[in-house]
Amino acid sequence: MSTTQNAELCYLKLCDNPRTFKPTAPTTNVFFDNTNGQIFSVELGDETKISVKGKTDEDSFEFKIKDKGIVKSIKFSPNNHVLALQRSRNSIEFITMINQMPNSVEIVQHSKGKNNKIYGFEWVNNKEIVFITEQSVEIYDIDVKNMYVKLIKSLSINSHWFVYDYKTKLLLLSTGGNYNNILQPLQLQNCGEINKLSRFEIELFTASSPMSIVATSPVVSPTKLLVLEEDVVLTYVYHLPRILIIRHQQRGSSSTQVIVYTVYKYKTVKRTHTLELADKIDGKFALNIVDNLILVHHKTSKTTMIFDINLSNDSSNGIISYKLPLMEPKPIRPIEGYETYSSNWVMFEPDIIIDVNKGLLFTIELDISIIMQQFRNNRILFEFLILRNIEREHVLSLLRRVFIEEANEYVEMIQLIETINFYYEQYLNYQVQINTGKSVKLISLSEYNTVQDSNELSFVKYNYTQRIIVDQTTLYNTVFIQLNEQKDKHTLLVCLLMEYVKSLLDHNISEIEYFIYELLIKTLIFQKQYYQLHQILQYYIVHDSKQIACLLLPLEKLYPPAYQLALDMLNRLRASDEINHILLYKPNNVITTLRTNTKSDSAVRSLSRKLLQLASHTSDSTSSIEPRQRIDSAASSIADSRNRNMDTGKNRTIDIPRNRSDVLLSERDRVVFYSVFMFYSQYCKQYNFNLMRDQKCLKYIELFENLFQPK
Amino acid sequence: MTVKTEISLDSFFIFNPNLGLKEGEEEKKILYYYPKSTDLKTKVRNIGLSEAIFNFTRTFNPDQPCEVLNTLKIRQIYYNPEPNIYLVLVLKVPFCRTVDGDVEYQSDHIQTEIYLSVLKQMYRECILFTSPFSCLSHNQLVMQLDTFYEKYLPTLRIQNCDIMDLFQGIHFLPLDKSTFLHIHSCINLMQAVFPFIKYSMFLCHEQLVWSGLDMEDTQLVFRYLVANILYPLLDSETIQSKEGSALPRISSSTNNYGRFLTGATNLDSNLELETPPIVHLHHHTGLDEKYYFVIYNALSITVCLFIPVETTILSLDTYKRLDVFLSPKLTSLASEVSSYTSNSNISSLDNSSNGPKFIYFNQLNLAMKSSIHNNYRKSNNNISIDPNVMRILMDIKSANKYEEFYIVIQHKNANLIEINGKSITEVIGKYSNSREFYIVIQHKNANLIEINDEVKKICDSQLENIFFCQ
Repeated sequence: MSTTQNAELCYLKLCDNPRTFKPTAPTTNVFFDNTNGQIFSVELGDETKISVKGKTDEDSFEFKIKDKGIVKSIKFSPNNHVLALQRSRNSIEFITMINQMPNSVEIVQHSKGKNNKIYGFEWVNNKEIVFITEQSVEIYDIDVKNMYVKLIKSLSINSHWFVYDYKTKLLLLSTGGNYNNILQPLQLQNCGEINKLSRFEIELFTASSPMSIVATSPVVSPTKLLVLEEDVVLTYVYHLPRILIIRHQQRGSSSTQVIVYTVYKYKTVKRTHTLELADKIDGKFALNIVDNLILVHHKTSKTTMIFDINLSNDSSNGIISYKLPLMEPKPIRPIEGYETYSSNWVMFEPDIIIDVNKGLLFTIELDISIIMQQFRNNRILFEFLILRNIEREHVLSLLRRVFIEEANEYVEMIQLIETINFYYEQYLNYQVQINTGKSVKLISLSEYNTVQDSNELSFVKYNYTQRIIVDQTTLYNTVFIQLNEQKDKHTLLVCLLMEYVKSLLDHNISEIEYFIYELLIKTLIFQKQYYQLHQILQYYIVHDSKQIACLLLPLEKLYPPAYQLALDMLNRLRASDEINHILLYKPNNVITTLRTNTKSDSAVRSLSRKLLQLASHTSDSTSSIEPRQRIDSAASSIADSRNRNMDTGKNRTIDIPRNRSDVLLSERDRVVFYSVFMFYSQYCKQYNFNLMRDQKCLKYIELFENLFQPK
Repeated sequence: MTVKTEISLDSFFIFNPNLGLKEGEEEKKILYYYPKSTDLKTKVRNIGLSEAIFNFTRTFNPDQPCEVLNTLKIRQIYYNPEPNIYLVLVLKVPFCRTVDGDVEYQSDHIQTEIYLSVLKQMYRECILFTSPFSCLSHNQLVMQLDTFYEKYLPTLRIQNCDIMDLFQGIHFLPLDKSTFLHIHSCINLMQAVFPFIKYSMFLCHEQLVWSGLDMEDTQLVFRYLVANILYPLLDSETIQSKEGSALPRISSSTNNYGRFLTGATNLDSNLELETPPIVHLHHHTGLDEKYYFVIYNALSITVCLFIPVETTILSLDTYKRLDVFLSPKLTSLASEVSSYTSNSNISSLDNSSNGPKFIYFNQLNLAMKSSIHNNYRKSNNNISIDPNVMRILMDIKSANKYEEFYIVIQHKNANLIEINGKSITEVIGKYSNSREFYIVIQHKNANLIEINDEVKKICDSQLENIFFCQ
């Protein structure tokens, strides 16, 4: 296999422009301070020459200090004003800096017990520094102006080693226990306050996971440390501080694991995940975090495994979820003439790899397009992508791939829709909570499945904007519209739209956009599936709106019931103006219109105006007669027919007028009659004229009531 | 002691007047005749009578053939769906024999329109299985008619026909959005996994939830399925359970609730596979497509699958795969539906016998609903109102076909008067926007205002979501 072929499958690569620094040499030591991102190359000689390489070239400078022996550790305060360095086993020196040059004044601070071995020190902030000694944790306050160092807090605690993370300000101490397996996390706060988190024990045996069978109990030597400093990483993964511990293969246990402990509310630490490295491998491991993915480098085989603790694959026992590598382990993409995974590599959190021998600082990057080729399950790939800090286009291309380009199984598509909406719901809930100022509960699908006590996660609050949201508009534009353009995919489109609506409702998203419904209706119409459309509307799947009603109305020509559906919808929306308009547009509908409008005065008034307008436009051959006269004749004819009915009604139980034409007026008569009456009664009201005094009018009222308000 | 009879089926026959034209060969005209035991002479005579009436009446109105013949003791209903094909339904007019031995025929008890509609439906359901009569050879036709009506006529129940048979509508199961969508999603998935299924239909509790067919075919399949397959099945199960020998619905080997009602009715047997019935769809559009009609039932749910005959061969394995797919999904959907219906029933249905009753029918989607009927099965004592009132309802319906109307009819119910002297039944018919709504109110001390309120209440509760002019 040639290297180029290999390279195509490598989903990890080193950054193109590594930072360079003076590499190690017999007289030069290199230090990296992760807090400030500075690399120190310390060259011993007559004087100690220190080159500092910051994040950019402008941040880089050099200076010299007096030689006082080998430098064990060196770190600037965050504002670069004070340089702290350790050259003896029990004291730290401070040098103030002016314009990136050391001041002549130096102070030496011994540990509290004078003789206590100092393991190391960390800057908490510009004024405070913590010493970690074999017997205590000490916090000192540094007054730069007066060059004065004062102990402000001291906590007696025996430890073997420590790990510190500047972002969380968590300090993890190995404090012993029977098998040296107890760890004590501390959180350093400002002004020397120390928050003591509950300590925890690392299980002696790697607990049986569903994927590995534990045989006999291993023999643990009480003198040997169960976990070494180099096997522990303290960092944020998915917005929570996590403690990652590499558990090497032991006698009896099947393979190496990485155990993930999660720090909740800076109070408790719980074992939450176990990363199962490939079977039966051991050797040197190192960890990096890239975009919330945990990378486990296996130096022996020169490959790297990727884990995502938030993906909902793999198994879980309810408390701990067991994770397998996302993809087959692959090496980092090789670079011509450069040895990857060399013994000179040192990894720092989150994503830094330093080659001390070549003087190079790399960050490690993901190649998303290659990862997209490697996943077999598109649903998990979607979840993976949506959790990454990547271009939106990658997700969109996945959607196009699944729904449009490839002939995927329908089952796979609906699973993907389900996953899309799971995250969409999470996002919307987050938005609501942001807006109402409530505490935010955001979890991933896997956490949702594993953590029963969701209160534990309720405090999590983080910036959601980096995540990619696949909302209704996105899916509409990338998938549905595209499918709509391919005529052979219309059946699929209807199924997907229905499935999408179903899934949205299942996720309590009831505000479904108009355009989704519109496309659903239009596609059904195009397919001539009118009865299916009718059924869907009948079960109120489509949310009522005037737009939808307007979409249905013209359909009447092709499918007559559409008219009824549209009117029903408008009725539910209480859109009486629109209903009147639609009704009057059709011939012989005045009575219906009148009967629907008897509820309120204002409706009657607006209708009477409309009717008058209509009357003046209606052409009728008999219209030459003066209105009043026509009304009179109409009125008398109505009265006659009604009287006739009443007489016969006495004799027969059932009386139904079989021929209606002699009972009711012509359409135009009704229009004229009604409008004039409405106008007249309004006129009377306006001028306080007593309507009842006019005998003729009284007759009209009677008639009117008989005709139009039979109740 | 007075004796009363019910409406009953005298005979039913189909004939072609163009056959057997020679003297003495008249029996060749007969395509189907019920009851079979009738002697040939009577058969020929009756057919001859019908033919004569047709020919006679045509003189007066050539465009509209005669539909009904009224005599004292019988009523004949005619239907001429295809050229030279005549269907005749002969009903016995019920009578009442008083103590004195006087016989009074109650011809107004037969409401012709209902039976016209029944007869039409009899024809349409038949051609669903046979294709139009004129497309078949004489022998084929005689055979197919025989097989079809043999099974069909016993389920007809002429004496229980009422306004619902006039509508020949579809009962839709009321469901909430999300349950409907879950059902719909299951059907889509099924059609994606088994792409040979061209159409499908989903029923629950003998009511329709979803149909992929168009309205005309849906109506035919629905009516046939419910009356001729599902209700008889339910009846046989109740009888079995009463006898204590109910067949377990759970098949022992697979522990599931599902089974095929047509096709592979026994998945465990190695016998030769039954071919499912074949239906001819899309008649009304002029097409004639043949589909296997496979019915699968699990608990309260029935799913119909329509599989093109030409392109698919159904093997036992196919049935088994369908069974594995459908059984768990339908079982869970059945419980979802029942949890919805039980929730909504408590709140909405007031089943008191005195409350107002209604019948609703929508011409445009054929949806039909009734609170007069205890269930939609035809049986005696199924309607909760007096049969006379039921007939009045029908009269209202037939009197008003075209426009909105509003009619209150006070019917003094003889039986009720005897009990409390003042009870009155009000029947109200409303028609708007292609929908019909009938209300029956039985009221003591009937007061018009109270009744009006009652009507308003029931209209508001039943019709609030639609545009219906009250």
